[in-house]
Amino acid sequence: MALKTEEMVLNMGPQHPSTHGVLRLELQLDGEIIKNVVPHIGYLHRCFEKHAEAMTYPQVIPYTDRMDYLASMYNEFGYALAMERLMKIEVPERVEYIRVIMGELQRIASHLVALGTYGADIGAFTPFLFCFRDRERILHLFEITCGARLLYNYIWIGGLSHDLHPDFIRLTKEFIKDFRPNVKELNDLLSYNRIFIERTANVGVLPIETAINYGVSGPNIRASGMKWDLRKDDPYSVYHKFDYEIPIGTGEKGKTGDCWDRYFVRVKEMEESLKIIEQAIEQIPEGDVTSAIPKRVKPPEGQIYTRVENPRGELGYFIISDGSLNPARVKVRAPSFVTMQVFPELCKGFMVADVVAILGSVDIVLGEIDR
Amino acid sequence: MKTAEEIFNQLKEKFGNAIIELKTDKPVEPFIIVNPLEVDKICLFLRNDKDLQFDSLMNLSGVDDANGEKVKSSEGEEKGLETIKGGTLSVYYHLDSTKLKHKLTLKASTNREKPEVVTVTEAWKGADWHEREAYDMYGIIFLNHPDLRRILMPYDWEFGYPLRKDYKNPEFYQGMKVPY
Amino acid sequence: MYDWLYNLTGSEILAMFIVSLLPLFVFILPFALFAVLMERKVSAHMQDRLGPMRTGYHGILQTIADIIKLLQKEDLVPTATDKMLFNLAPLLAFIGSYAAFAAIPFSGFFIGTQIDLGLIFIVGVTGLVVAGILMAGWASNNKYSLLGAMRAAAQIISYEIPTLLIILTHQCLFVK
Repeated sequence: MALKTEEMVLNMGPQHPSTHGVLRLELQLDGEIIKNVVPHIGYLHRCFEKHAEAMTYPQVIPYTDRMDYLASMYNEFGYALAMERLMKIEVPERVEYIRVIMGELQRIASHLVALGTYGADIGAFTPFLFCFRDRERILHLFEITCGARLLYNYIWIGGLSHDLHPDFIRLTKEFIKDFRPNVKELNDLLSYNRIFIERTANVGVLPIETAINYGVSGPNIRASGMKWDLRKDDPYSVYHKFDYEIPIGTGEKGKTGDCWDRYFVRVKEMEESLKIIEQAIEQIPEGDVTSAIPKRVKPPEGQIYTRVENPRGELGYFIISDGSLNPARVKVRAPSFVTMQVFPELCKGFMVADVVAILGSVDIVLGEIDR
Repeated sequence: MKTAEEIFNQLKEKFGNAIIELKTDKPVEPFIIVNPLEVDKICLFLRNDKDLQFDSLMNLSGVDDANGEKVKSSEGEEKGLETIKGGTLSVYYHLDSTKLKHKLTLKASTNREKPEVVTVTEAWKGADWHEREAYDMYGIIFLNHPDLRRILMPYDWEFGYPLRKDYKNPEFYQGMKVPY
Repeated sequence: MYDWLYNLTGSEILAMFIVSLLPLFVFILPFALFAVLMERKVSAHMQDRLGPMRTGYHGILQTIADIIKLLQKEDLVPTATDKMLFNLAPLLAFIGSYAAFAAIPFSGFFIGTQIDLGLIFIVGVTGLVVAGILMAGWASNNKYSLLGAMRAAAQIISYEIPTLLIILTHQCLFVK
């Protein structure tokens, strides 16, 4: 006589140390195997789009910082780029170079948080602190430039708010020299660790066709094997002047597109960002960073959609202006929003402990999803 | 690589009346206005045709074109309350092809009183949550959508659709005072 | 050792008390004190930070402070639980693990009881821990505790069988 069993609904609630923010996951379990995951979002909704319609165009920039709070430079970069294309402003070259340097430093900082917290979720506490020690040096660089460690208000429409500090280039060169051996140390500690590989290889495989259909982008789709990077495929700013590679996942420790690939693509991307920063520091020209900032930002009537390569994927800004000082509509297409949609597909058939591993590897930030 | 004009001509031959016009006068990007009740067929064609191959939906957003007229209702308990009548709500689609590297923008407009657009989740599964957000913020009903409910606001928010231009915050929600 | 103490004190009960409490106070408590503190300080130094620094000289008295704090805590029993099982579970877990110390020799003389089947006794008595954990998970009326208790019990049981096999092999090969 068979025993009667039924599915259990477990709530991985909004307050949880491993969900990277306030995310509620409703798990429908059969024993320990997952039948379905339903994500519930909206706990961090701060009405960014409604606020943007009440502010003037430059006043929206501090609001854009606070969406993806771990990669604020890129949020501002995307918005400033969209407005400059709409108003057809030419920024000086020095501004472009500094924006690229800040963006790549921000990419390294964001990936360090992602890798450190991923290790901490799996159970390795030591790499978490090593990653944060390196991230402190990057935040110090940001602090001497614009005064803030996490939410900068630095990249303005048409330029920057401050020029580089006189010590910035020397400190950045020292940072690069110290950081390269640290990446190797992180690899020894975490990436090739037997236990880490057993927990993350062959878990949460994302096939390429599904990824393109859902609109996934960034390191998640590069780990599935597709060479798609907006810095090379849809170039913006001065990225075409640098020589760097796009790392993709190769299925080294399991299937292509599993959690280990997503993790390792981020490690390799940090090294590539170091190359870009070195080349940018060599080539940076002189100039005045505040010369092209308009006194009153009044764009012509029209609309534009621009996208930049956030550390998490493709960040898109859709701005509609009706000729006045306030925007008519600012829509932000956040990469983590799209990744959260694909998440239930990745989890089906795996066990409860794998949900944490998959959630850490797709690297979401709730501030972006809920805006 | 095809320009917006060529794609417009190709679509016009195939779908006729459903494609309304190509607007290129405003900066920066030209967009094609389509009939909101035929969008799914158009999008399936755009995805499957081998010259176009728009296999990725970059963005889907609802927009309140502020082209209605403000009306002050003067009777009952809503005395003095400003609402907007007439006018349209639209949905913009930004499409992109990863293989052929061209982009396209579509716009579908519906009227404000009864906004209905057909869903495009058959063509791209990623449109699911974007459409839920457009429903949550603007009240645009997507026909044939698998699971249309609110996504960012609480599930039992019955005071309207927040991003419309005539939205007012309620006083109390479940016993908590809403404005500070 | 029981005989020596019996001759010393002249009463069975006193001798039995001292035999059973001696491993606790002489060995287990000081070791726990020392080991917890060392783990916190050594792992902190490996992670590029310092660990507890304020209690005592560089944090030596930290574990004593923790013991005093824990002794002052309230004993919570939620309403909708099975009260007998809930209160019995930690008792079983402690009994299962502490009773094993009765057969462990700390030196040639200092041993709780000299039974012939010492090794099998240890393995058997630590099986009570599994029952204690399962009771705790079931009696607290909580899905998360149930899931956690199931996982912990599964882990312990899956390691008991290889342990038993190794001990049996050892007995067959090396004991005459």
